[in-house]
Amino acid sequence: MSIKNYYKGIVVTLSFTIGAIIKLALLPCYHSTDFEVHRNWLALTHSLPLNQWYYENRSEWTLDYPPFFAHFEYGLSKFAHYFDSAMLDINNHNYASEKTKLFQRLTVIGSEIILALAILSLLKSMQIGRKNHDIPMPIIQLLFALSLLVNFGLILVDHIHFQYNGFLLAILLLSISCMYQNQYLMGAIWFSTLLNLKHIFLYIAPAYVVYLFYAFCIRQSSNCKSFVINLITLGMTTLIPFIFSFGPFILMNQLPQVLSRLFPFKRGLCHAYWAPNVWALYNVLDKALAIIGRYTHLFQVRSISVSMTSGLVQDIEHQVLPSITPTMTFILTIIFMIPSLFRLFRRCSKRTFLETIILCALTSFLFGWHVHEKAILISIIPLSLLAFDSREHARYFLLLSIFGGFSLFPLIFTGPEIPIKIALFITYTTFLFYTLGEVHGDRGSTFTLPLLNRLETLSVILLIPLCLYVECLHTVLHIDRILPFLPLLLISIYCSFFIMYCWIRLHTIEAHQEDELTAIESTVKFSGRWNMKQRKKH
Amino acid sequence: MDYLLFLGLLSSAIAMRWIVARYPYSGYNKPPMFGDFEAQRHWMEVTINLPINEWYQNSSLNNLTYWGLDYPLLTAYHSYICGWISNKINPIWCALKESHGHESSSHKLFMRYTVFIADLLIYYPAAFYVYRSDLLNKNVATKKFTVLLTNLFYPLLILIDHGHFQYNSISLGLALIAFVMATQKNLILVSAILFTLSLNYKQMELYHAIPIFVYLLSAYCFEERKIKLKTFLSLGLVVIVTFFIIWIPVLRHNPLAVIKRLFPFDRGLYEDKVANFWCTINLIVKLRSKFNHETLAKLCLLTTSLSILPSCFMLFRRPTVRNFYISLFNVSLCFYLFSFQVHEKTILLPCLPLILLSATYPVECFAFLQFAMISVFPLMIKDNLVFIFWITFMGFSILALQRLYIHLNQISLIQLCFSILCITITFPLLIAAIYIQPPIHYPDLWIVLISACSCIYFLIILIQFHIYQFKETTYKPLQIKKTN
Repeated sequence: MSIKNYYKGIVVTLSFTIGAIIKLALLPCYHSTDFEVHRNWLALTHSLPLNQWYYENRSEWTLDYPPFFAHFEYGLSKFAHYFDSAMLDINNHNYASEKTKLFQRLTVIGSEIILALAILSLLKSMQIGRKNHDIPMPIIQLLFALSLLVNFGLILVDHIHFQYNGFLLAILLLSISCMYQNQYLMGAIWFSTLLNLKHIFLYIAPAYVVYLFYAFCIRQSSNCKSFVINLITLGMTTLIPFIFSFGPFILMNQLPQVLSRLFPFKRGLCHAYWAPNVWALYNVLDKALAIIGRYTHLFQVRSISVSMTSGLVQDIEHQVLPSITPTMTFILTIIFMIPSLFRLFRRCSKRTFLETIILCALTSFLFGWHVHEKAILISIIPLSLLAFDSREHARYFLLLSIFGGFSLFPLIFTGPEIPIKIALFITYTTFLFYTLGEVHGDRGSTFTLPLLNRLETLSVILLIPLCLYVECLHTVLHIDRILPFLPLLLISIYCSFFIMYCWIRLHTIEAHQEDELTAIESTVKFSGRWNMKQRKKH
Repeated sequence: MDYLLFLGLLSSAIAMRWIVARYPYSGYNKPPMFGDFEAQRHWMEVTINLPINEWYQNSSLNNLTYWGLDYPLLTAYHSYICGWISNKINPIWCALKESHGHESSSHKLFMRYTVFIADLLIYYPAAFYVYRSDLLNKNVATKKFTVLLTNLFYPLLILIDHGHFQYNSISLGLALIAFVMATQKNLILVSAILFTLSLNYKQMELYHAIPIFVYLLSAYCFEERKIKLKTFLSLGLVVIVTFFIIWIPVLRHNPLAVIKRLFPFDRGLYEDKVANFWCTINLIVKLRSKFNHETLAKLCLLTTSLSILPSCFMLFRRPTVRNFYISLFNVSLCFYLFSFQVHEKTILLPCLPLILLSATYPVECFAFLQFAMISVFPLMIKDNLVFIFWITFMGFSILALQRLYIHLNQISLIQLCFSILCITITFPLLIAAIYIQPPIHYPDLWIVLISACSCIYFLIILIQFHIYQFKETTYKPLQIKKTN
């Protein structure tokens, strides 16, 4: 056992080293305003007392993450002055010296040690990768670790664009790993800690609620009394991180202020770059109908003068279709989550739990209010845990990482980084195709890529002309002067189709597998009975 | 499935190059002379604005002391093409006289694209061609793969082309194809043409010219001690015609001026600090104060020609593919160590044939490739590329260890320990060169020490490869007598 864990440690260390080398090399690359956001939070938490954190508004990038993340920034700021203490000055807006850049980038890379640890704990607690006689297990595990630590989406968003998603998703993985080891309370603590680091993970909270309620409260209790005890234990443990994070603010009577910072519903339906979800399609449909209506006068077109993709975060008024309110998106999201949650309730297995997390994240991504395109990572990363195990999941993991990854392209738009972004994307995609193809024994054919059918292959191949247009022809042909937002529109429409396709198919494979399982179970039962009958006869 | 693997390798090689390209280039923000980047830009400026007969001549419009063109004509033509395109995009970039020291992010991006396209058109096809038809490793998949990986990811070439800024990948890529084609009987004429092109892109390819000449002569032009005149003459003709076509535009004017620019004997024994024999011996004996310029030049000529003789002779005796590659390495390393006016970047030339041998002598090759990187460390400090140097160095070490693990049965443990020891010994020097202020009397102390270490290691490896070549020459395969 010890030797086994030893080699797992080597596997994770090696892939972390490779990942760190690539990420360090990206150090001087372009960074988005999120860099300044986090620098401002460093300065803010460093120089102000706790009771002013959520009131400070000298910079436009006010603190809008939950308190634990602010504490995390506070911890980082303790090391910041070894590099450059000027970055800790709260009035020093848009400060990005070499040392500051180095420090901030290093914190992202350093915080991914947690990701490496989470992978190690996953390798110990769950079966990653099916037994394949051609490829030895350590190699499969190395490939799995690499697929997370050199994940294209994470590199693009965290190490070029600048955010801390790797660290946050690592905590999600830790929590999943605890669940796989039947440590439900530990898993719950990790998850509520995660919620207090970034509240976007509320997307997948329903899956946790249902699973914990069933697996911990119902299944583990023999009678009514133990059920109540379990329920209270669970509730109390989940609350502990909340007490630590929001407690001080409740005592200072600042809770409404904190919550108003955390949930800014004043923002519009879509983020500046449209995330590839249902609302992107809805907006386009509305535009198209408006144009048709204007020419044919078949239906009434409400006149407005606001461009939807002007880059500023603002409300969108629809011209033909009914306007969408936050409540509507909320209700829709819940409605579309219900089938998967119901299935989780019926078949409460660890695997179904993981599948439900993925589906909940995808549903919220598709129907949520003001969704960021980066939120796709919340469903891609857990899906990668299943991709090395089940062939069907591998297929949708591939499609999701390709289309989800491609929809992140508009985040990086500066000249020197465009080739890096494209080359890394192709490298990561071919890496996934090659390894998953080898692991599942599907090497593809002349017309299909490994694991995909012809139509899916075609849709992937069509990304090449789309990419060519978006990154090159659009500016070369000077279309950007007439239709500046056409590339964003094309990318989000094209990707949203396939992300919805994956979403639907992920529901169906879940059902298929369940049918298969129940079929197997029933045959087992039947044959068992038959055997019994035979024995009785004898 | 294989196409996916190759696509992945290609795109990761491209990604690596673009990441390096994100770092500064030589001479960034260093007036008045700037660096090689400015030289290349200046050549674009000169070639598109002046008629061809003035490219290599000093005039009021072409000040040769400011990065005058000193590479052969293909470089000039290439500069002309790039300059033409850059003029179409933004005329300011190449305005005559006015654009000296032009620096802007869009121009940097343009220049990076020109190198990228040169790589895409010549170096990657060369690497994949070697993978497909290199005779030395033909039947062993892992060996072929090692050579391909080393070719695509050797950081020194990437650092110099995409970081420091030069177009080595063109001449090296052409030479690479020429080497492999020379070993195939039906392609020797193409090989001769390609090598001539390469020679006309950079005169440094002369380092490789002698072995390739000896090999072609010995392998194809002699049969049972008789000269095959037809092959010999056709080879000669092809080379001369290629030369002639390239040189037509200057032949009418003043070809001597060009040649004088290509071989500048008045520049000195070596530039900066090079890890070659003369620079190292200079630590003990101050040669440059004892002898005058011409004696030194003669001395260099004598030592170089003496040192390349054994290798060439052995190649002539037994022209096998392996012998050819080893000889290419030996001769170019001799040139690097002993010849006159050597740049530190010239170390790329011995590295090129060594990459082809990297599956045959894995430990020696990877260690030498690493040491070659160490020997240009002073240049990296000057160019502000130290950070990416370390990153690529570590990445390449991981790759090297993985490949060594694959070829574990070919490795002698003593050799491995020796190589690792040699590399680790220099680490303190490299770190000292960045962080520790050298004594006032010896401002170049660390750099000289790094060069000296590299030089000693190069000498050891040179002797070792001569031994290998000797073994290869005297090796007699067991002949099974046919009994009929």
